[in-house]
Amino acid sequence: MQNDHELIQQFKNGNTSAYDQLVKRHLSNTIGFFFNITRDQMASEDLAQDVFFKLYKHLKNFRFESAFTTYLYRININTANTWLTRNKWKNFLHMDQAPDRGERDTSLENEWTKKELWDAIAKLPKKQRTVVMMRIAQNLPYKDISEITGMSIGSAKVNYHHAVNSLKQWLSDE
Amino acid sequence: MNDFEQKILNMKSDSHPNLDSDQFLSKLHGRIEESEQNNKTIMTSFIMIFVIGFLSWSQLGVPIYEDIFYSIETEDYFETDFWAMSIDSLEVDESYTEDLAYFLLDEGDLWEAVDLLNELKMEEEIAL
Repeated sequence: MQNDHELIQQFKNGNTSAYDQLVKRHLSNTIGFFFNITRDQMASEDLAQDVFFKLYKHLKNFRFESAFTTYLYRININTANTWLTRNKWKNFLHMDQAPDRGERDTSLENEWTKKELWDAIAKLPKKQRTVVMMRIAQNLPYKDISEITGMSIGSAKVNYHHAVNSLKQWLSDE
Repeated sequence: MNDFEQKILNMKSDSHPNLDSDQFLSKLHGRIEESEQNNKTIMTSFIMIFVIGFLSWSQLGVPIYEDIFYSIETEDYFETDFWAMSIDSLEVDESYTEDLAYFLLDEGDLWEAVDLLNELKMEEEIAL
């Protein structure tokens, strides 16, 4: 079985089926990441389409300096950040409408829903939001987060700590 | 890790949506093709605009009147309106008259040439 770098090299040489294999390999993980954030299958598919479309256009510039997954996570994070920001404004502009609070997850006995959690995450500063997204939606270790974002492991931990404190405060206030 | 942290980590959905990867790829390729087509259209439009713009720009500063490449003197050389011919123009030497007659013959105006010669002869007689 060919590894990611080999497939990218083949794609660079003009073999588009190598790109298809790459997509199939990472599709489930990417969709899962967006599904955790959006809680909507259609939206997560659309975002995954955006990611692989961007990837198709920019993969020819891939320099094999890092793992393909690192590159893919960066695109995922940027796309998710854009979606969260856009969604934040959308929610703000629809304040007069009855808010869709989502179904309460009684199994976890949470006082707040996933939607409320992700709405709160959307309000976090970008660095904190990025770290939280990777921790919550992808369950990535700090080492990987540090590699993807370019920040130190210590900085990633501090950002996560601040983010969790802010979320705790906001969600307990609601 | 405190309770709250554990709680938000537990919020992660373990169940992934069902997805047909072939359908996803087909949609993706459709989008890529559409984008490439749009890029081609945009490039063609820019080239057209550039060419039209360049041709328009190259015409700037060109005078609106065109130079007229003929001389008003030509009328004298090719005067065929013998009724309006100035009498001065008849005071010419014999070679000029012959040239004029040959010209008329070349043009196929045989009777005009005969008339011209007769008229010149008559003018000469009147002058005498």
